[in-house]
Amino acid sequence: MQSQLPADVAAIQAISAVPTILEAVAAITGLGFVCIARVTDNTWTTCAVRDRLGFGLAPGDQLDITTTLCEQVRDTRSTIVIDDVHTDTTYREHHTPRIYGFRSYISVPIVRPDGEYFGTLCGLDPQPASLSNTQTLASLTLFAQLIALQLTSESALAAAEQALLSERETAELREQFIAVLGHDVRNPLGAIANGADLLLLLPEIGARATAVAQRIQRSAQRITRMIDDVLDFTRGRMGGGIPLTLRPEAALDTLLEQVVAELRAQHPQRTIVTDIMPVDGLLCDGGRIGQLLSNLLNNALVHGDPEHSVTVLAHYRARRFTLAVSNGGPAIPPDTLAQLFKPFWRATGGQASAGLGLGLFIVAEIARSHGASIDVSSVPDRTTFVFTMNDAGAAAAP
Amino acid sequence: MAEQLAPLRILVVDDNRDAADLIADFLEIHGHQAKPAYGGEEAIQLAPEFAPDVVLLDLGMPGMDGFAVATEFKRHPKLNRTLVVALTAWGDPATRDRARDAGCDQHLVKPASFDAILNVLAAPRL
Repeated sequence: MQSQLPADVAAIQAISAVPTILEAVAAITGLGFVCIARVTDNTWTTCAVRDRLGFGLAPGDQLDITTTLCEQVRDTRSTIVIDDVHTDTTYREHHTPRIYGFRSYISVPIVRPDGEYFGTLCGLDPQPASLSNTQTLASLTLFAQLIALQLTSESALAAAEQALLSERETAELREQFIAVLGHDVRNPLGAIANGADLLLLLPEIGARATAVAQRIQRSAQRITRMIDDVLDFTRGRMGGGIPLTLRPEAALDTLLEQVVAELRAQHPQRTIVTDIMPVDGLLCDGGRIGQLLSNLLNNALVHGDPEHSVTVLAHYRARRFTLAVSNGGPAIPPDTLAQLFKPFWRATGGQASAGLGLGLFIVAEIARSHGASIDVSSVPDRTTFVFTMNDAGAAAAP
Repeated sequence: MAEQLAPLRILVVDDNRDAADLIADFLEIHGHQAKPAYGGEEAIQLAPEFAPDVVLLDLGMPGMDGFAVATEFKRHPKLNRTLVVALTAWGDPATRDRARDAGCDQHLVKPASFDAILNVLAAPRL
């Protein structure tokens, strides 16, 4: 309990209205010494004070509780008020007025809304004072309630802030851990991928071993893609967005065609129809735009109806670069559309190989870093994602 | 696949022995003379006699790391014309800058395909 006292003193000090309340109490009662005290079973501690008597108490200072009347206020949870000790039959012979030399005194209990006793709003003066009137008692009771309410709301706010801070720290640690893990996995993954590549170069390898090596290659590519996505995710979250290397991209269309060719090789049974215009000198991060197309195309191939073709359109007209990917299949419900770009979002009942659910989040992040937009529309039989960059600075687009 | 190159002397530096050996084997298959080194100190020890045209260099290694190795290559009168290629799991812009400042001429991110490695070897020399 003792260790909590400095926090209790600080809690009262943190309430900005306390000095004004003490001034108001002094003005209403005419008492020279007014203070807020924390009172426990065995301690009496000054939390805030307005002292015109030179009483000498400062915040944090303590009195022997047995010498005070606040112990009684604590036990009875009721106000003690003395207009003049000399005429008061109850306290005339009491040791407390003798010890502290006062004639007028008031002590109002401060009780938190949950019923917990905190302490008292109290005051005293060596001269008699008119305190036991309804107006004064009502005013001081109201101030005590106000202090109790402030204490509660301040502590609730502090607890909420602490919880938020702790949650942020946990989230940051988690993301740092993911980043380090992703990085460390790349080392042995590189050896696995290179090992599979090397097997396929050996002249003595047979058909069955070739198939095994190809499976290892494909799995290594999938892990690589997941790690790239996770690292982009953590980079985006920790560094405030995916970093870009912007430069006029020579022959962006060639780069996009290469991405399509890679996806065609991975999905030989699917039809990908392209309409890609020559785009030369577009100011962008070509690697990231390629990654954006790869993610969109992969999404269309995994989630689209395999009976329908996937189309890729890349146009540059009137200083606007548009990249659109569409696939067949049932319309996506509007509430699902709103979720698509959120991290780790995966379609219910989606394929196990569909990845971590970061692909479209990274698409949105790449668009955001480019100051571009990404939109999705879905009608029966067709879902289309459109990336649009306005005022794109292509130097030599036809 | 990049076209066949004139044989090069290539030092492959990686504390992951499997990674170093696999890449060295691959380069040998392609007609190059490759030697693995399993750490920074070993690379600096082997390099003057081996006189590599290219060093494929892991950056994150215990003891002498790849940044220190790259710096040492650029400082060494017999090694300062060697093409230094970082081959690392770190691909972020800050690490790329640091590697370039240390003396790396090229930067590949693991897992790097053999094609990517051959393309770097085929790039014009300084």
